Amino acid sequence: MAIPQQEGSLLRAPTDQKYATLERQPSSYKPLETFALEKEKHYQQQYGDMYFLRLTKLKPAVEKIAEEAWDGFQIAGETVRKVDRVLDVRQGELCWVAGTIYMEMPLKPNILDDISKDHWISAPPPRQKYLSPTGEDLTMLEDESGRLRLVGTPLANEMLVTGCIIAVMGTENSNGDFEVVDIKVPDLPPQTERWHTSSPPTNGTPRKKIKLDDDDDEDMDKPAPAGKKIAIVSGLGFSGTYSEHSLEINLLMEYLLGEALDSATQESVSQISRLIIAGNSIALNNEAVSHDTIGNTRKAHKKYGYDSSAYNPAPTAHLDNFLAALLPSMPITLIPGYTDPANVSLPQQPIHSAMFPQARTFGPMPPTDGQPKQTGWFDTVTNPFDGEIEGWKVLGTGGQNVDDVFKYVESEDRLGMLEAMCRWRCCAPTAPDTLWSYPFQDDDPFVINSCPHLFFVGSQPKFDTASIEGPDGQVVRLIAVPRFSETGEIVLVDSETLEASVVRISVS
Amino acid sequence: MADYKTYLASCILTEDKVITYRLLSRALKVHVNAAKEMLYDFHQKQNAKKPGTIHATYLLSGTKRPEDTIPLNGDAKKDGEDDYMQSSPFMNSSMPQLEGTGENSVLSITLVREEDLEDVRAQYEHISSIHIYSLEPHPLKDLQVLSDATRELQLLIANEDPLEIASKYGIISNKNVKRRAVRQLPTAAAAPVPAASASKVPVPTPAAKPKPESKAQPSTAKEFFGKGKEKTKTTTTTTTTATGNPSSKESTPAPGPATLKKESSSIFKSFAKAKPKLKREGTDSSVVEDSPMRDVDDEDEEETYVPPPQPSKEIVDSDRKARKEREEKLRRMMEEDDDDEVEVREEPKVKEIDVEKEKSVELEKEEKSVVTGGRRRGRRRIMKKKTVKDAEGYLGRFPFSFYKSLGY
Repeated sequence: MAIPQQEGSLLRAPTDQKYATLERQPSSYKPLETFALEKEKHYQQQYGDMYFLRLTKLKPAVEKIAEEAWDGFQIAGETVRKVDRVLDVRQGELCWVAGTIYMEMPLKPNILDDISKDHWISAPPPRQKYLSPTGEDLTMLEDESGRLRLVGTPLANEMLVTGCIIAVMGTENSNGDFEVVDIKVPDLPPQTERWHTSSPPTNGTPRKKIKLDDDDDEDMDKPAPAGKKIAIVSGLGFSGTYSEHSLEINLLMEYLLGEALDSATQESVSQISRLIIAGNSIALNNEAVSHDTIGNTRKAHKKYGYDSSAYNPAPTAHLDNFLAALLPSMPITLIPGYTDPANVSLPQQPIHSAMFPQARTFGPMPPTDGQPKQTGWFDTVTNPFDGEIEGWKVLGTGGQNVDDVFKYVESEDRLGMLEAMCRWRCCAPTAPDTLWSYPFQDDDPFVINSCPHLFFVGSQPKFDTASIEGPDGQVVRLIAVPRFSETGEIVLVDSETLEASVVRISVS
Repeated sequence: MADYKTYLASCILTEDKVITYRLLSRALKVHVNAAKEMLYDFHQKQNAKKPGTIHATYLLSGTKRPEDTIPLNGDAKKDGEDDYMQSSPFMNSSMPQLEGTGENSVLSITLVREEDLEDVRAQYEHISSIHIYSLEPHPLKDLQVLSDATRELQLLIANEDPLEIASKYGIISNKNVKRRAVRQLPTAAAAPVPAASASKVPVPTPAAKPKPESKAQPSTAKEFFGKGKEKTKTTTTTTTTATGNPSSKESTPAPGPATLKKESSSIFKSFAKAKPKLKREGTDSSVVEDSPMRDVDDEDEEETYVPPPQPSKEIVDSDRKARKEREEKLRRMMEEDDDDEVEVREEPKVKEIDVEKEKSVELEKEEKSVVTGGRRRGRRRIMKKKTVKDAEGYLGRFPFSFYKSLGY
């Protein structure tokens, strides 16, 4: 087999060449615990509080924007007037009001419906979209006083889902519906500079350095040559029943370890300072699910404790092997996703380290009294996750938030949803309506208070990226991370420019 | 350096194995890049001698031609941009800035059979790197079998510290890696730890942390609980054996004793017939209720080889007991209905003669427990344990010991 000589080819007889040892770039990493729940969780309280918390937090922001835009706005000689509450809107009067969107959709799952119709006999299959084909969907604006039905053409152009806070201008018509003329959203929240709470490498890039509270990550006082990368992968989909992409996962591991390919590639791989796993590392086991729906025919008698016939430990064991192989070479952040063994309602709490008997040796030490919690080399985090990586504020999710917004809107454009969430200042607006969520009582952590520099979501159908700008010069890099099990793609984000590129691994 | 040929020849040609560059590098303790070259060299020389004896898979990387990647949704990105522009104008301020992440920013890594290599090469615009991934004696039908090599590899390097081998094999090392100080098995604290729990811990670990394992540090109680299940398990099991109360709130340690208990009680079901006699013996129902209970426990523990219980202190334990008690009561009640009173009354005497031989054998063993039983159950006169074949026959297949009163 004659193969022409070319660069990067290792198709040659062995030489006595000494190979240089490659050293991986250090990672500057500071996770925040915005989405960590208390150990003691209460589920007695009502979800309604979340909406009011969100409204009180975001109303001032959207009102400010609306005021600037609509101040002195006139239609047919009538000047627009601000109304404080939804119920204060008077018929025929040009006004604007802020509130929470509520989408009334017949196809949306509705617990009251299910109970009243006794629909428990068989659960309906999950829907692709909640949108009604016949246009029976209603858009409403609500606040603590009441609800107002919105109509008008601007609604068609605007992406709206339950739970987002907006301001609308228009008049109430004779039907009692509000004719919308214009819509304003809170838009991007204020953005801090890079290296806001973490400090940059000392002799690294010449950037403005703001030291607020200086808790250095140990691995930060190293020079940071340009071109550092952060790898993001999602949907590894380890499964106990089929192994169709296990070779791809192995190749990914070899690539990230710097074993595959030639020296030049290995050198560039050493620039990858951290791996983020954004959800769905474990595949959904359809078999187990169908077992459950069959119900009591499943098993004659219940066994206490570990039942090896009902539980297949292979997927987590494989994931553990994968992590344990990579961890000696690179730090890993593990975000749970919909199919992962974490709680199902957002915010998902970190996957317990007991799942990873090997990988957890790289985890943080158990916190001792009086000592600040350490960040582990292997960090299992919440979903959504936020933190500072290489000084950038990063917000990432396992993808459920986008998948749920997707059901409300006609668009197939995932990046548009990401952008909309940033502009709504809410990273999970449909929680708690159709996205399962913890009933927060004192604070709605899904509200984005500080604009991230990088916002990524996992488990998306395809890779996509864009950069959006806010009114005050905020810049957000949006990335939709594809499912590795389907595309074989991982995303590399440049730590200086936040540009995203893709590595696609395939087996022909 | 030359012995790789012998190694490869024996593995591939003789043992019929698939050898990847990683396996070769681990086996010969060489750099992965050297291993790749060795594979190439061996492949060339062997096939020059005898074409077709060895087959190879190649790993290549580079940028693909755009047109070829359409089915792989690579180019969809371009379409995505358009979509995006359409639906985004609703947002007020700035338009999203889209930088084209064109095909040339995608690094494609493809693993391909030797047979398909040319086809795949044609799809590439630029190949930045190519090397042999594996050699095998037959063309691989399904490349996924190569993932088995990784599993084999894990066994091969199971005893090596991943942090130290890194540079030897060409893995990118990381000097910032933080590993937990390994506080392994609390061997000092836990006296004779049951083998099961002890063996469970180290099996998966050596791959990750064989080195520090040796310097297992003493562990305080607090650390114990912080460390998670593994350690807790060890402790609980120890206490379990010590007290003989197979109980704990943890679900993990439970299975062993619990399942055994289950089994034993289901076995017990089959000889529970004996119980009604006792009941009839007792005049005070409340006491009777209590005493058979102990019987159950005693026998259970004999089954599970756990020393006799101390009066239970733990709530869990008492819970379990209470439940058992209820079950037992129910069962007795049901069986009472079934039993023919007369028959039962007479049966023992007859049986005593029947099973005399067995009894004499058994008694030696059981004597002690009988005594204990007798001491504890003050109400009963003398208790003996013996094997009985039931008159009805269906119990006769299971000769079990049970307690019965001798003084009628």
